[in-house]
Amino acid sequence: MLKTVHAAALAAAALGCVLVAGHAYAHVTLEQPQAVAGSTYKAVIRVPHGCEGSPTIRLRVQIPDGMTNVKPMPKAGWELSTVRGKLATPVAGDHGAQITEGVREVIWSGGRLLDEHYDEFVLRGALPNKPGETIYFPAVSECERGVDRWIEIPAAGKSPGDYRYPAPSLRLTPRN
Amino acid sequence: MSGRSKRCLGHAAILAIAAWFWASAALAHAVLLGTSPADGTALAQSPPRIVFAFNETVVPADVRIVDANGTLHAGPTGAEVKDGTVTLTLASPLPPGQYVAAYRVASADTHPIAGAIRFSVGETAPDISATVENVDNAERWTALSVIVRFVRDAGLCVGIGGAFFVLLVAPASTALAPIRLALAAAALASLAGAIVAGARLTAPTSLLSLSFWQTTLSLSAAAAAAAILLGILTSWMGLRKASKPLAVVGLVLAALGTALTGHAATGGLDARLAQTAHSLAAFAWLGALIPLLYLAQTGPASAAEIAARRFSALALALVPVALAGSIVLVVARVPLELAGSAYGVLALAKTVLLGGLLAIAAQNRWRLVPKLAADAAARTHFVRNMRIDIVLAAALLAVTAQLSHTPPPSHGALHAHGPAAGISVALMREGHQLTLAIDGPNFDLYLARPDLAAFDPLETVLEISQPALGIEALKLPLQRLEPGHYRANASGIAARGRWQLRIEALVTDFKKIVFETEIELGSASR
Repeated sequence: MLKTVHAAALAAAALGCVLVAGHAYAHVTLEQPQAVAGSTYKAVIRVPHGCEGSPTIRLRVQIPDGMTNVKPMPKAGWELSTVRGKLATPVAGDHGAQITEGVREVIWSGGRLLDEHYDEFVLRGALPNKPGETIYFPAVSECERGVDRWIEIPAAGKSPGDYRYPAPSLRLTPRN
Repeated sequence: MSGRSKRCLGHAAILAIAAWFWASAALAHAVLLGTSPADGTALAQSPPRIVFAFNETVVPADVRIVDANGTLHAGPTGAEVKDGTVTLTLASPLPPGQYVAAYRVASADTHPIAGAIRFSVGETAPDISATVENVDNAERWTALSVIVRFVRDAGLCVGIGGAFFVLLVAPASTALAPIRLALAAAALASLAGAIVAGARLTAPTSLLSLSFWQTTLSLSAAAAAAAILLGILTSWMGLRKASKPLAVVGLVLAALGTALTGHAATGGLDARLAQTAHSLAAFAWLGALIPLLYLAQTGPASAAEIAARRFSALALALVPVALAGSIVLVVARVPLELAGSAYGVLALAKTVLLGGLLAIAAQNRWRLVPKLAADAAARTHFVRNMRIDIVLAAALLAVTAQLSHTPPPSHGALHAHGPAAGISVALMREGHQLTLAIDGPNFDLYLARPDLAAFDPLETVLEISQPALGIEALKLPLQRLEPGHYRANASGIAARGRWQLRIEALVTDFKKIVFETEIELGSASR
């Protein structure tokens, strides 16, 4: 009996190890990979390294279609800017107004994230009310030498893990 | 719970936490930082070893050196690793030649990563001359292919035009034997065309080689030959049994066959239909000139005039169809970049010849045909005109045969080289088109936007892999030749076998399109 428990615990630990290892933390990812559709979401974009030995000096993140009211969090050592533009699909705002324009891209620049270091970049905004869908935050990490583009969006039937440079993804869950 | 089982769960918890930390610490993929020799280096002498430097410790799974024939010179085992530096020592020096050094390693997170570099050893001159020789060889095949194409078209022209003449213009007065002869020649030439296309790709040492026939049968030229052959047999039977519908179906099928290979074959359905209509109308018009001349020379004057009138009226319908077909095929798709290219010169020559034919046709129709029966001088003039017409028509077919083997400028996505110019593959992703043409050591990429304009991505990457040779993700540098047209030189890479190709085209900073395909290369052309 005890042996069985021990073995099961070991197996669980091993499984946990495999599951954790299976996660590709080397990729640029979101700290919270799922959130309630239509809620306000704090996106913590985790950048685990620079590009192939070279430090990241600029990070550009594209805001997914349907996400509104986007506010990036300023970050010490980095200059913050946004690119505003027309939304691909207008969104119903408060009081019946249509939102047709908003932040399309957030750019942190001027910092220096060494390849051997890790950093987080934060923004928040209102998620589209589309439970069940997955939305993507394509991110471009510009380095002193080279560029890493975390922009691959999985084709039907594939997962971000099947790609070398998957875009950070967020699954929208139904409201409880 | 007993103390022992508590201890056991405790162990498991510690193990799980340890595993978590271990996994978290080691979750970055390894990245190749550099190699020695560097990618693309020409070395005077064989290097003593190949070194791959990674940013972290890796476990080498397969590190090897293969030459341009795919022969293994070092590895796949025996690589040593120290602090992320993987070294493969050569037991004996590499003979002069071109090599691919390929690696497949597991990074600490067990994620496999693979890649390859190229380098050459010794004088590169022999390799270059070998390449040139291969190109010459390819050009010889191209010349043969052009001739075969001309024979095919001339045969179809005389056959279809003759049958058209028999069926619609002058049923009683035309001999069937020359028509059959022409159709037979066309059938043989289309078969020869498929064989030449296959031979050009595989350079078989014997016609009994299995790979040669496999390649040949997989080409569009083989499908075209089959359609033309079937069409010709059908029309032959139709003529024999005096069954007009059967003959017409056969001729249409044969014309359809001409749309299954060549430039039109890489276009959409519209291009194929346009090519079919163009072939049918142009062949019927030009091919009928011969029996008409024969009739004008030997037949009774009145019969000649009646036939000429009928032909002239039908030509008024055929010429616009042929022209409309060529407009859909060429003019609408390659509007601006014709000037200066070989394709443009040939297209211009074709237009001039066509202009000559139309001018003579107009003179015949409005001046000579009305007087044919009564005026002997008009008849002499008419016969002379018809002879010039036939010479012009033959020249037109010759130019067309050459044109069909000349890559159109830009817009390659729709006008890729037919198989006669090497291998070509057309791919479409998210409305964007990529045509890949492989000829000798050159990999040509033609990219087009959804509106068919030339497409220049912000960044274009071509990677090729052949797992069977142990080569994965070998990046070939691309050179931009003209808008939308990129070329990679694949010399030094084994020509044989099944290669996987991956082309990444960056549309915007945040969006890229990935084209993936597999191609089977024969032993020739590299």
